[in-house]
Amino acid sequence: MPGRTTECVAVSTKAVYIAAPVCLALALSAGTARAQSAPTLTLIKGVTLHSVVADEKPLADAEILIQGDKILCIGVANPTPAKDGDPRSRKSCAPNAAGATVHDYLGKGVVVPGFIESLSRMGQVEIDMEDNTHDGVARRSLNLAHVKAIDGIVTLSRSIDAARKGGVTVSVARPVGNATVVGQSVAFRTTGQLVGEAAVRDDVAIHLTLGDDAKNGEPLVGARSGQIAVLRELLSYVVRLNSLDPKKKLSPPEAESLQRLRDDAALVALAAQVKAGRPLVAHVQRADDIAALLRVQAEFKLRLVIAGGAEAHVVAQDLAAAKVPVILGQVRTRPYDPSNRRARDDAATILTKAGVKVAIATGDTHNARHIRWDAGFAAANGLDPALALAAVTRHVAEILDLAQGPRPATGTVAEGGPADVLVFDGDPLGMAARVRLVVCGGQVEVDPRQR
Amino acid sequence: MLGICAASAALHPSPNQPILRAPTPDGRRHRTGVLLRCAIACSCLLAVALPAAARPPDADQRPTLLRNGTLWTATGQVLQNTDLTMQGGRITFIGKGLTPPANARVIDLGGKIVTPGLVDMHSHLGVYPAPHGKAKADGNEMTAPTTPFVRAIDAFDPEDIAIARAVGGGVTTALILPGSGNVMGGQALYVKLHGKTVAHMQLPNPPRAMKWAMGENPKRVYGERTMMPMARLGHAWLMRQRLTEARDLKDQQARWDRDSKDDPKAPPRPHRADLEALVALLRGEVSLQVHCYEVHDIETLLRVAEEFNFKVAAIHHALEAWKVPQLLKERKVAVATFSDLWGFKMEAYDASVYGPKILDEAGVRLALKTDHPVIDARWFIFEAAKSHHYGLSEQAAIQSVTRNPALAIGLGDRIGTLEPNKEADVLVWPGSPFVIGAQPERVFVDGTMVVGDGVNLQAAWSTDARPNHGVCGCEH
Repeated sequence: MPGRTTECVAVSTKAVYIAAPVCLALALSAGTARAQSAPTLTLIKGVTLHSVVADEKPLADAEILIQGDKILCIGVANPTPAKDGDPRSRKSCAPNAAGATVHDYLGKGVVVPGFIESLSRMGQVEIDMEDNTHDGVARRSLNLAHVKAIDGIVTLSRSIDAARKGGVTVSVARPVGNATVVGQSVAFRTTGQLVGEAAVRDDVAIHLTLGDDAKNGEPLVGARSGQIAVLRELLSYVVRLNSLDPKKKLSPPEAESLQRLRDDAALVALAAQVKAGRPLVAHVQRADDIAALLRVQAEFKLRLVIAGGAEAHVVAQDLAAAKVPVILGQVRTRPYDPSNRRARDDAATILTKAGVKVAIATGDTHNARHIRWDAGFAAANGLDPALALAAVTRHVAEILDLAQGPRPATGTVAEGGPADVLVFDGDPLGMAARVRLVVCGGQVEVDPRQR
Repeated sequence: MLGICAASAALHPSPNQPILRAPTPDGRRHRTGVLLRCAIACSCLLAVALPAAARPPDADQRPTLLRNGTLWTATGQVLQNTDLTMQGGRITFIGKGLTPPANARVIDLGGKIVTPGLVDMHSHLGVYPAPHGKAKADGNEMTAPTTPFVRAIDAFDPEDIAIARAVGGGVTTALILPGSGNVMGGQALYVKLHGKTVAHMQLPNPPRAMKWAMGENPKRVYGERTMMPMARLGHAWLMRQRLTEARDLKDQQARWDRDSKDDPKAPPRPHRADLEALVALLRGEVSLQVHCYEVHDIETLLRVAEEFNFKVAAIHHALEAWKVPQLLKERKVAVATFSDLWGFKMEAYDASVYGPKILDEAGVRLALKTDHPVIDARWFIFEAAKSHHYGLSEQAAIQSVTRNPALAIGLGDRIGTLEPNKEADVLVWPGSPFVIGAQPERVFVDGTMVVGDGVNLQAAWSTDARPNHGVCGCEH
């Protein structure tokens, strides 16, 4: 299995595009070089920076200095003191870059943040038809809110390697299964030996399976209406648990009833996550199902996110009014199921125009590596390219609070921020450009080559 | 039955595909004699001049002149500032400054790219029609592991709404295959993606093709029922068992033709309906298309082919073919593969995105395909774009979705390139076909403009007609 770094040696080289120290195992097996996370300095220059920080414009002739897993400095090759200009263009990073490995793209590089995939099964399913390569389904239950996806991730994965080489630096995984409440997702970097060291956060969101997906296999709830009823029931218990007045004296039957709720670990986990303000991500395609969820959201004041959302554009105005963001699961439409017949190529554009915050995910176990072409597809269908880029970077981080974790991911390239940085030799959303550099949590990979 | 397409084959015989067939009254097909061949050629010379053909006349049968295009001919050439005329369902002329035929529709392309219509040689359009549901999932007769006798034509639903999307994406010809649950899945259907009925869509005077499957699928389907094949062991045995029966029957028929044909007291000619197609395969009359991923499965298939002396036209999916290009080149086996799909099962795990480039550069006939609905046929061109990104040259990439699949399914003399007398399946692209989301702005099938000027004729024929936005992306 290539892509696993077992032995690293320091290789001293001044050649441009070669990172040092170099992981020998990788260099030999895949023709690429990848540094360990030692706090070495890496300077990227000769690039145009698309930081995806809100309101920041592309920065030409940019320099990005990376130390360890942080971005130490952002500047330009020829600083100008103009006070009204972009503050980043007032300085050069060169003075702090002594000893840095330099990657100079001679003005032709395009830098964007590492992509964040949010619906893939990478790390959970290596080969779909081989059960012993799966995390599998936790168990048959309606509420599995205490199941944490982090406990089932395997990072030894060609899918993860492929994704990283395609520019995906963070992936969000939810537990596998068709329970109404299927558990808590983990966000992890697509590098590292174990998911523990790679985790951005292990309590990203609570995930709900609804619609036809929840009817697959041996469903516990067969009907859509039943799924919504189960959700309401669970949320009513959550309300009870979360609105307890500790000073209030309970009658013995009340206390006994409450104790039953407290003995339910899944319910307690659900209540805790709701109380902590974690998002509830509902995996659902059909507009009618989304409308049903919006009714539940209004009743319970949920922090709801729609994922999949093939028909979300049909209820774009309602989603905007309720401030519910959408993670579009398949922009390249295939409206062939009864639940996604209204899918449109320009769904991201319609949602965005209505005021809905849109993220884009591939939902693809093995080909998340091509997420940038999904963003490109949205752009080709009317979405502002800057927003298409945000849809696979910052918007995902914002919708899922990935910046607030032990090892934050922001989906941006900013001073002091995490070192998840990509360099392309052209438009990252286009077919022609190649990935020239992947910096994932500070680990540097030059000219990554797919299998 | 002897329409424009037969004419193409007769007028432009290819050394690889000399076989013209006409159905016999009992529905079986035999190689036609020289006399009949001549008759076809003669009638078809007329057919060139007359708009009427086997395919029902379309509303729009005007001749067309595409002026000033950039022609990617799929013969390896790029012709700048070139005109192309279509008449009577054929490409009639290619050149500079052509005179429009009488009554022609003239479209100035201003340098836009023109390519042949896309040929999808592995499609389940119509046999797994959309909207998906068990009511119409008719592509896999998984009640016995060898069903060479079933025919995709009997399952094909021309009202599949995906057909309009596919033609909107530039697919003009598809080989409709039975699924891969069986060792021998059944016989394929050749369709043009324009028409209201099966008879309308079926390619006139088609070649014959058959689908087999190696590897995991049959052993999973039958193994789970503790039936043979539970393993590759039983799989190969089933192939040999059936082929032995077919070979015996073929020999009996040959003996009968030699000894008993003119004997009125002789018993009837030996015949078994369930083996007819396999006998035809052994006679070299059927193009064999085999789902086959891994190297050792490729080897088993070729070993059996050698034992029984039949030809494998193409292996499909074939995600490990890139490891043995020389073997495939030597055995003249085409490869119909995916650009980047992998990992969904063990036999698909050791794929390479560089596979198409490796195979093409080694001289293997390389085709891409969708396996619709695995990949939506509407996005077929994206497969070529991705392989181009991973090193397959631009013209090889366009050939991999036009000329090469046409050759691999026995239609190389009729479709797949922009050349005079080829059937007029022609696409006009607004930009490069290899940009993200590329869809042709005009699609001609047999010279009829099926997509163009914001209209998708095929969509109107779906029972569940959809607004154009879902079909041709022309909402902007």
